[in-house]
Amino acid sequence: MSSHLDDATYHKQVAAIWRATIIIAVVTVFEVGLALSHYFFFYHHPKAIINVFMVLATLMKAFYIIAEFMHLKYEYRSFIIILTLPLIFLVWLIIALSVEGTFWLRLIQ
Amino acid sequence: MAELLDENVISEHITLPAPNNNEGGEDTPFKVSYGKTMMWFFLLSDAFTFTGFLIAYGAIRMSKTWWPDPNVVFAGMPFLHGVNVPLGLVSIMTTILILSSVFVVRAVIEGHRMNQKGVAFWLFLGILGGVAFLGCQAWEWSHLIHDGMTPFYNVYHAGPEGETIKLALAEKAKTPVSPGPPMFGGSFFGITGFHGLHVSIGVVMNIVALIKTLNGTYQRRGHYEMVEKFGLYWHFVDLVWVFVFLFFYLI
Amino acid sequence: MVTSSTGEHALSMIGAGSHHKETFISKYIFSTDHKMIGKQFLYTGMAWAVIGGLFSVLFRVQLAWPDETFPFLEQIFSNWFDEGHMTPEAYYALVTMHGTIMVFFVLTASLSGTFANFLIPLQIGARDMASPIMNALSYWLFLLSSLIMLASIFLPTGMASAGWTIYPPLSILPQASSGSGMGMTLWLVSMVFFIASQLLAGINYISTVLNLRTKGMTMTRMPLTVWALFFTAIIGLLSFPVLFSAAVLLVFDKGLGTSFYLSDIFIGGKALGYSGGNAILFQHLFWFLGHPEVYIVVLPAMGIVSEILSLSARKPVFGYKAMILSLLGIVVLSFLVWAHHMFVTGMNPFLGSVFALFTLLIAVPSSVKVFNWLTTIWKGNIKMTVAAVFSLGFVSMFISGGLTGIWLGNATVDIQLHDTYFVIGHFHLVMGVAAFFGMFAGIYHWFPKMFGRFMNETLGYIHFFITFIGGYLIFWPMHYLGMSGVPRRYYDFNEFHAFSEYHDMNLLISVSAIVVFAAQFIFVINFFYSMKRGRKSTELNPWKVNTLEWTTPIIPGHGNWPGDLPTVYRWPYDYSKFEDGPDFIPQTVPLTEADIESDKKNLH
Ligand code: HEM
Ligand SMILES: [Cu+2]
Repeated sequence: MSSHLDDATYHKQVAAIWRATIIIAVVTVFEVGLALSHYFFFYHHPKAIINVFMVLATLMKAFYIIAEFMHLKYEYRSFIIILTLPLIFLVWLIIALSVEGTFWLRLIQ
Repeated sequence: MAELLDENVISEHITLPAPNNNEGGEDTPFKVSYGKTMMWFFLLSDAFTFTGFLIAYGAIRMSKTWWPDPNVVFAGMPFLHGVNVPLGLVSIMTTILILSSVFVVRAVIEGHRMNQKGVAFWLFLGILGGVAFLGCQAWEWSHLIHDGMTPFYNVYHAGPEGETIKLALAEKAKTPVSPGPPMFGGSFFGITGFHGLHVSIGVVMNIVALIKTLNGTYQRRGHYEMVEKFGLYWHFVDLVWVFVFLFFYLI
Repeated sequence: MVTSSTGEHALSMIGAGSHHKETFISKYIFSTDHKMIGKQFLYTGMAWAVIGGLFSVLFRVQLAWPDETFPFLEQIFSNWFDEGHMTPEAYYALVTMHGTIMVFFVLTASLSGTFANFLIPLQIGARDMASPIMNALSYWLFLLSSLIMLASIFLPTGMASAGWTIYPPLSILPQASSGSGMGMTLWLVSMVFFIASQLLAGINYISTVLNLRTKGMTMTRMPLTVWALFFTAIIGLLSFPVLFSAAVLLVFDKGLGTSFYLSDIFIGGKALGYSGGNAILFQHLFWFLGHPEVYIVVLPAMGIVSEILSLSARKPVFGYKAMILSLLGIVVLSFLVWAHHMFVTGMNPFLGSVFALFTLLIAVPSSVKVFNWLTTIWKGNIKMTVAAVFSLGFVSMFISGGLTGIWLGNATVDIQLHDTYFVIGHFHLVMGVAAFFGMFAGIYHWFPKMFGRFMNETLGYIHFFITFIGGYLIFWPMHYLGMSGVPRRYYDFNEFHAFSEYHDMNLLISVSAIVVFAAQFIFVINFFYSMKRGRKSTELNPWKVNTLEWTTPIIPGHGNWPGDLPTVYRWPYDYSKFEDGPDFIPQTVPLTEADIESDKKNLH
């Protein structure tokens, strides 16, 4: 902790943060643009494909927030693994409940 | 040894100055201090809480044939009465929150340089962002509530073409509508409310960190780890918002 | 900042200690010493276990003698009896609270709370938890949650009665039963504090294990108890939040009128204002906690048993790495199988078959563990201490109960068996009795470290044999009941011609239950008597064990080691390592040439 930053690393870190910020901003503009373009131009078409792109874009933003802002990218590999591996449980929860949700829809149709 | 067996001597109270983070001993496997480890694991568990909420909302929404279009519902703008700006306010809110997160990262970096003024400056900006976000959210909530949206009633109904119409407008235009799912309001207020609660706690945490920075507490301590820990929490709030933004406003 | 001189610091504090004596309050009540917090969890858990056990005796009395009247019980529990008979509402409330108390308050909070607090710092060589304050807070939140739950027992409208799984709509609609009003509300409030307590505790345990190990204590030199408690904390950390979400949404439904879990409901022909939710959603969220929860209960017991079997057999634990990996396997699989509790709810059948597949996979790591326990004691020279017999009892119960799990995991078989006494038999053997046995084994074993005295052995054996035989007499017949279709949570079987045939079996079960409950007081008396009057422990290492807790003074003070922290050189299972060498080699003994030779030969 007392190992204070030298100037070179400092500038590198600051630059990395602003780079991440710009990427996140661009991706957000892209997402909002997709959502609005569907609303204004393709209203009567299904939104599924656009949704997939928006989910991917959000995952990308999440990656930059976790990796750069929360600095996880620079921690030990084992630490990254121990924190991200449990997320597979969430993936399974999401898959299972999505299957159930659509199944409930089928039941009422 | 005899002394060791004397219960009284041994049970004497020892005040531990701070936990013995690998006192004399093994490196932590990750070179992350125990405080940050704790924060990380807390955030991991909180990620499970939010996923629980979001997937509950998701499953309910997937089981519906129709759901109100966010572009219609979230089109109000402060100071622009009667003008429809789809996703306008929420885009501003997102920008504010992300920027606020960036400011706090900057504070953390300045902390590594032991730059007290820099930490205070960026933290202050971060807090400002948090407060602004909460202000926008309060406006949005009161706007929806004013329109008649409640946790158990949804004023946005389905028009004949599947379009989203506010009930009052439909009645005026005599458009036949079918009622919208009431769970729209419930999940929206529930989840954005829970997120807003997190933002509020984060703002309080950052204010505490700011005061202690200005007091020089961290400077004397020789490190700004507390800012870093609170910062982790603040970025997490941002992270959750990215998903709330996706699932409530974009999709 | 923390410096490496904390050890000396602690030592000098001991010298200076005579200046400030602790008050009773700071030492026993608002203590931040992990050992005292562990004991606090233990006492609270024992109180809960007595209450939970009493409840089960009450409802077993109802099942055994549904036609008799019990005026004397009515005098004590006037709320729950009417004209000498237990009311049906009271029956459901008792079943609900029995489950809640046993699963959450005793076998989750108290089992982990006692042993994780007591053992983790002592066995990894730390002076305390990573954050002693948060640790104390976790106990206080648990106590607060306990008091709220306790208060709900005395409500005139009755305590929660929707089952420990609090399925909606029963738990949401106050019209559903008298306990669904205030009783259920207090249940939920209590559970929110409980979850907060579990999270604080879990985060603390994890950080302590990761960051505070002493010199030489690598992860692969940790005793299996610590490994098990570590994994338990991880499971709790990841599963309780989802129960929290589920409970918050339930509170919204209950208090705000949202309908996450409710859809068109009619009472007396009148529609309630709910629409659009789904009750199965709650079941998914609940069991996402609920299944990992059963492993939160059994994992600490597994760790304790692995340790005690090895040191009692004076043999190294068989397959140390396999033990850790199978624990890890259980952790992972436990999050993938939750919907096997929901096969008959009408969920998507394809999804059900995936869940059945994952469920059956759990049998693999479970059997690895059983195999390793058996091979650990195989040809060992077992010292049958009380702790050892309880550990053997654990293995027996875990096998018997685990095998029936494989039946239940088959979706097709489960359709017949679900919600019958078969399930009750299954989980009481595999997690109820087994986890209690692990807990008893741990208490008998570490009692000298906790209180500097030994528990009475004779009383211990009597306690064991009554509980072991009684446990089987209670839960074995339940499998036959279940296979014949006798459903769980029924208030009076004599009302049904088909089920009244099994009255004798119910009588047997109830009588055994009463005997076993009574036998637990042998333990309680032994516990408190030995605390004050038991045989004094005069050796530092009475059981001749390798782990670090036995290198502390007989009753360690706050800070555990008066001098520097011990340094670790070897794994904790060097029992009977050399033909002609010592019977055990503590972890603090440096490696010799012979050690290195022998370790090369049998890589553990
Ligand atoms: C081989 C491993 C296991 C398998 C395949 C298995 C399978 C199952 C299945 C399918 C059920 C649902 C039965 C039904 O409700 O119809 C069940 C219930 C249950 N199991 Fe297991 N189980 C296993 C091990 C365990 C263990 C190790 C524990 C606890 C430590 C446990 C505790 C429970 C509990 C508490 C319930 C019932 C909960 C309730 O409905 O109130 N099981 N088990
Ligand atoms: Cu299960």
